[in-house]
Amino acid sequence: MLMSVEDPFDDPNYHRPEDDVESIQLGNLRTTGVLAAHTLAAWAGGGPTRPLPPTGRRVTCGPDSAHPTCPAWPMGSMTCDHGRCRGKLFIQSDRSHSPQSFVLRIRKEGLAGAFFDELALRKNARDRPRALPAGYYVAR
Amino acid sequence: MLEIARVWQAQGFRPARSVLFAAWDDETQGWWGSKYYVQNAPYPLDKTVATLNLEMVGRGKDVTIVGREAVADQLDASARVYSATVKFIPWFDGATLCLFPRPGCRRPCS
Repeated sequence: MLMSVEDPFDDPNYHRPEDDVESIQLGNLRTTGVLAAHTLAAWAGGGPTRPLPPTGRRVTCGPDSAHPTCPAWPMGSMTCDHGRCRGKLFIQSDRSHSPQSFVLRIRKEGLAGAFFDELALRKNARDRPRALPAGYYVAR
Repeated sequence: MLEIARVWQAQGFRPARSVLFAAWDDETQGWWGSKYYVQNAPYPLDKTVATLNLEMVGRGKDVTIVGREAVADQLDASARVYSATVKFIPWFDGATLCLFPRPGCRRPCS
């Protein structure tokens, strides 16, 4: 919970008549918003989606239709150009939890390595406070 | 709250977990809004892992983190990232707006 009361123990009456629009502390409001946005982003995981390829070259890829030439893409990205624009339009993510990235890791590291890597990713995403870059998920 | 949702949309941020932005009404009268949500939850409560409650924001000069464990720890870490001065209270009685104080809790607590 994020609160803007000086001391919850000494101020049990949170709602006061003078709490109107004119008395809003903008710095306090912004700090609360920035911390809330950063915390939600860290807890929810994920990341920025990739920029869409040009309309004429866009091909839809689903989790069950991975193409061998497709790079791993972050969960939530719904389009892929089957590797034709690799390195030009896409931003590679090393935090992808997509089935495609798991398959790629199996090919590269073997089943055990990929499995433990996936466990480490999930544990990191769920259990650890994350120090995301300042300003990345919030308005600058 | 709406600004967070707007900025995420504008920046193309897609959370790996589902995040629900919700506002409760009539807390003072008896948590009517939060009670209604719990009784008519649009998403399974047993899969709701955490809540972040914004209470009385923009009032006074201090920002206080109230809570314990995972989300509160992340708030504390986020405050360090931004060098924000915050007060930290691990818990206190009377957190009336806490919907899910721990995993598995299916009712508002007082």
